[in-house]
Amino acid sequence: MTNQIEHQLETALQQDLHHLENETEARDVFRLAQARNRALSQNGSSRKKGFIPTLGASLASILLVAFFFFQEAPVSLNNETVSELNRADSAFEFDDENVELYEDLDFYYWLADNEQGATG
Amino acid sequence: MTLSIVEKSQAKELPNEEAQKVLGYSSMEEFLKVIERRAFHMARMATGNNDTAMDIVQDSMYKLVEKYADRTAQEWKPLFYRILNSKTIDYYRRKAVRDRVFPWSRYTSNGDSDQNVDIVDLTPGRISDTPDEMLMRTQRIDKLTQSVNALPRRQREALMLRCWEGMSTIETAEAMKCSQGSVKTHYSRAMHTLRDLLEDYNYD
Repeated sequence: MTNQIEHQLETALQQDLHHLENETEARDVFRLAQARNRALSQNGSSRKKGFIPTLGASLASILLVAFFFFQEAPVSLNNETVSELNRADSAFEFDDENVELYEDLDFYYWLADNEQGATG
Repeated sequence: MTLSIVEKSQAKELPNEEAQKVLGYSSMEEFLKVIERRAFHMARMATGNNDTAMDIVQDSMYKLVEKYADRTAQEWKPLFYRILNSKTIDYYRRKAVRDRVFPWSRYTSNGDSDQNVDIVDLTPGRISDTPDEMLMRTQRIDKLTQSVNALPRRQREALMLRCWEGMSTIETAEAMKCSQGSVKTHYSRAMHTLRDLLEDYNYD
């Protein structure tokens, strides 16, 4: 009995649901057709289309960063070279002979003054 | 994603003419034409909103064509309904988050707007009944829609696929991603609940 009632209900539901489907509003039928056509017209390469510019932009960014990075490197090398040269200069300025010369400078001034006083 | 059960039950791929005879479609376009209205009404019953239902159906069509167009015609139906169900679940999740973040949105976004609707657009596709029959059927369908909406989601899915779409238990299990036993349980419970809710439903 219960099965029979359920079967009747099932049949009635099926009929009504199919009727509902057949009575779909014209506006919705039109929109569904549009949606179907849009879905079918995609060629499956929508992601590939976007993939190429994205990949290109990424590579360009990497190249740009790499370019600036390697541009930076010689500058730092130059700085090092310059500092090394400065160090060499100061080493030259303050090597032992020059230091002695500066230490004896007062003596040479005194000697020059004395010689001028003796001749004058 | 494999459809092992379906593949086992339909061991060989049907040629186009045979698929057309057995399934009623052999190309993707024919399949979508066959299924679109039903899918739309299922989504509308689940969401209660025309526009949302249309979006869900469109997204499902896109995904089916994009991902599974190369599958056999027998596989399309369970795959399509699986996609449709998952899109509907996505909608529920988004709606739950939106309702939490913007509590007032639930009062403004429910139902369809009747503004700017051309009366010609509301014309049904086919008029075959007398006014009395149409009125009675409309009332029955309204009540049916309310009752189906009151069902838990899994029961509603089982009912829609088994009763409306006429899918086998095996296909329904594939579409719902569950066992055949679960499909039977969900379907049986749905029918019991509907029998109680639709006491005065005129099905004798």
